[in-house]
Amino acid sequence: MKRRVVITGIGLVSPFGCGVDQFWTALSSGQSGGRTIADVEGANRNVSGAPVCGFNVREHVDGKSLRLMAPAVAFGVAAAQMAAADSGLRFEALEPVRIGAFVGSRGHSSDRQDLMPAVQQAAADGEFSLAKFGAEGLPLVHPMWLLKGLANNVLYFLSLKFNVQGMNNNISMGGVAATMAIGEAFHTIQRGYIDVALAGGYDSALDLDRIEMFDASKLVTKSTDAAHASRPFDRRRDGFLPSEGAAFLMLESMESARARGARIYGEVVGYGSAGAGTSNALGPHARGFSGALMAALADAGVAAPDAVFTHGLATRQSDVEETRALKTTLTALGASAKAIPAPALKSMLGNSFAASGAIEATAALLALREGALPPTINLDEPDPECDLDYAAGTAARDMKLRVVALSNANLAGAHAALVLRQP
Amino acid sequence: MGEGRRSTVEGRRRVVVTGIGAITPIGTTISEMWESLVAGRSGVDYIKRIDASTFPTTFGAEVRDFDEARVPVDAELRSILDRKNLFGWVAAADAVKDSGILNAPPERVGVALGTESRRPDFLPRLADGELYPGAYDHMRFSPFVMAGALASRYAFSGPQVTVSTACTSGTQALGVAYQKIQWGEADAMLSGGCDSLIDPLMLTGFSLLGALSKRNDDPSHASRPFDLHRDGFVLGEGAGMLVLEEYERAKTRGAKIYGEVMGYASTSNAYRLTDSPPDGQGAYLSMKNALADAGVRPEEIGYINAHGTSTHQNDKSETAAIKRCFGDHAPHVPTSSTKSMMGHLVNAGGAVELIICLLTMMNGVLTPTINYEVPDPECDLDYVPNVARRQEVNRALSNSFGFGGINATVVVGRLDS
Repeated sequence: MKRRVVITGIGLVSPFGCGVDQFWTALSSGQSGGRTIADVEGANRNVSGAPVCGFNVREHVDGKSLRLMAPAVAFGVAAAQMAAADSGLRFEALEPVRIGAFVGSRGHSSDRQDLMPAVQQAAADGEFSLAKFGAEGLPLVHPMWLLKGLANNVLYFLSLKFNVQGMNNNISMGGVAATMAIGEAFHTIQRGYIDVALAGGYDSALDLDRIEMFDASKLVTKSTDAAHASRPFDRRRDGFLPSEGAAFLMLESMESARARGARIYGEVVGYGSAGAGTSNALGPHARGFSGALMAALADAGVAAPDAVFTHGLATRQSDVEETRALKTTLTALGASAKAIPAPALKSMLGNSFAASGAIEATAALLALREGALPPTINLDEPDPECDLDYAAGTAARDMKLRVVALSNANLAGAHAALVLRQP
Repeated sequence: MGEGRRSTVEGRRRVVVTGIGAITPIGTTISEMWESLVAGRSGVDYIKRIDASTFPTTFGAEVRDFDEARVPVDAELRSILDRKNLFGWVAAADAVKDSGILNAPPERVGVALGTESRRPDFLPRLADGELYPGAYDHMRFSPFVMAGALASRYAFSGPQVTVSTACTSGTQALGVAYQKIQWGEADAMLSGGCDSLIDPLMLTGFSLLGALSKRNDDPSHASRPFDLHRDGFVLGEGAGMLVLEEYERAKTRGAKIYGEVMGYASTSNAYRLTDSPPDGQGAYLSMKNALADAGVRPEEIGYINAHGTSTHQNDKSETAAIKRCFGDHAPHVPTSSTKSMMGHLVNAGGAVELIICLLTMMNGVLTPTINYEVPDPECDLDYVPNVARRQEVNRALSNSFGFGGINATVVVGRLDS
């Protein structure tokens, strides 16, 4: 028998702060998290992005632990702690091996500042010498350097903090990482391996490494008007707006949540993931979007959802492929594609890669609670190939929402979808 | 074991392995690797690909004679696939070919890999101030690019999963792949891991943590799991790939079956970032839960491929965990560490080691722990010291434990037993 799985806690570190009410107010009034970031150390130029606001790391993480965390890792640890606190769950009353953790992670990251003195030493004669680095550089690198950016660092700190000993995973999959982490946690509870799990994701597309890495890619917006830079489905879009943050959800079996009288934000009812199934198809693809969404809806045993929270990346390929997929999928389910609103939250929040899916799932849960759909902002001139109802505007749309879907993809062609239902 | 027990009682589908491929420091084909394992050959030597002469550790287990002709020629693809992914590419090609799955591909085939990004040229590029000149660098340095590249190559439409839990990745990826078939999310999965640690950054990071052996005067005897004089692990590189397939389907198409994936579990233990707890709690739970998932009693296990890194703490803690899990039976379960021969393949380790478990069952030969000379009083199990041993094995178990306290275990069994 498959068990029902509900969400009983939310923790958030976002461009609109850490509180869910504040977050909802911003989304439902069509605000942009975009800012011009003038002081990106090392880049020597302004960057348009949606940075985390209203987050004081020292309120969440002690100084000793912080020294073992790359900055984005601290977002993740803080968000997970907030989700745990929000749920009111007494972890110490549970059997540790029945508690799981599923993290959408950026993978290993290296803070170059930690390596720079050693590299300079090794290049003192004009050319970098690995032999000189080994002899003279090594002592200049912090002994714990490798661990600061350890791919599964957040998982470690959660295990330490909450005595998590059960099934876990650390999914380093860019734009689908958090969506899949939540989905995998859902299935693992549903199938009875564990009873509760922290699930979510963390990332930053705004550290120097990521900024430089995407410079040559033509995937990031060049717009200097940060608030209007993220324009999913708009004809004038020119790439995604880099962002950062984290969100974690406390997932719990319905049985466990009911027994302790927990507040329930919503229920996870479906999860699916898929690839395009065609050769030479890296990146978001209609068949992948469609495959994941169909699998998630079938897993949920529901027909068309009341709304789809889109990946809405604001690159041409992703937006067009996703639109195509929504049409074929919803039509195949007997619905009229244009009658199902499909907002793109990245228009306000930007793209925080491995964090995005969890931040967007948070927005979807709040939409279910509030009975209102947040808009796609900056959608002034729709791309003719993108002709669905994306809930364009700057105000939330009041509507009865019972079941919503969330869709995401990554740049190598993995796609994932979740189906969430009102409690 | 009753044929239908697991599928009827639990309502889950059975999962078998129908294809394998591996690139390792002791062989770049399955047969070459197996020959080395049985002969107890070490693949550890001084590092030749980079100048490691001034590092605290100057040796590793490098893949040699890697046939570059077997990697993709497409320029764009070459620009996003680095050395470890080229290992993965070839191992995957071998596994897919071996399985024959492309002759009648099922509808839903997915890819689940354990890997992460590596940056072999990060340091010199940092010195030059030009780190990312390429338009595809964001792909090259994404951990998930390999799953996408393989799915694209074979036009697989199923789930893609990339796990990055360092030393545990490969085993966790296989566990996820197994569950996805078991629960009907996919009909087959290409799963495994790839990695290359012969890299200035990894050499730096692991040297600073004091995790590597410093036996610079005698590299081939440096990896000595469970030996009293072990002093750290040896960096390796390679890839292991398996095709996992739903049993009924594999049987119907007459596929060659290497064995059944019977159980999986992952656990975590809150202790230290780099060390496992002395009582082996997380490792113990991982084995216990995987056995329960498999419906296999500890006494049925005929071989354990240990994580056995050759660090002081891991080998002691793993031994304690095996004793807790297997009780009085522990001394009677042959337990070897093939890292004694090929070093630590980290993200690829779990996959290669599961392949070894399958080959052990097929061939009825236990592969040894080499360099085992002086017993450690705290490590007192049967580690199959130094020489291979003929022994029929029906059920085997593979352990992987990683930094950050992540543990995973997979249980495999012979189909005809």
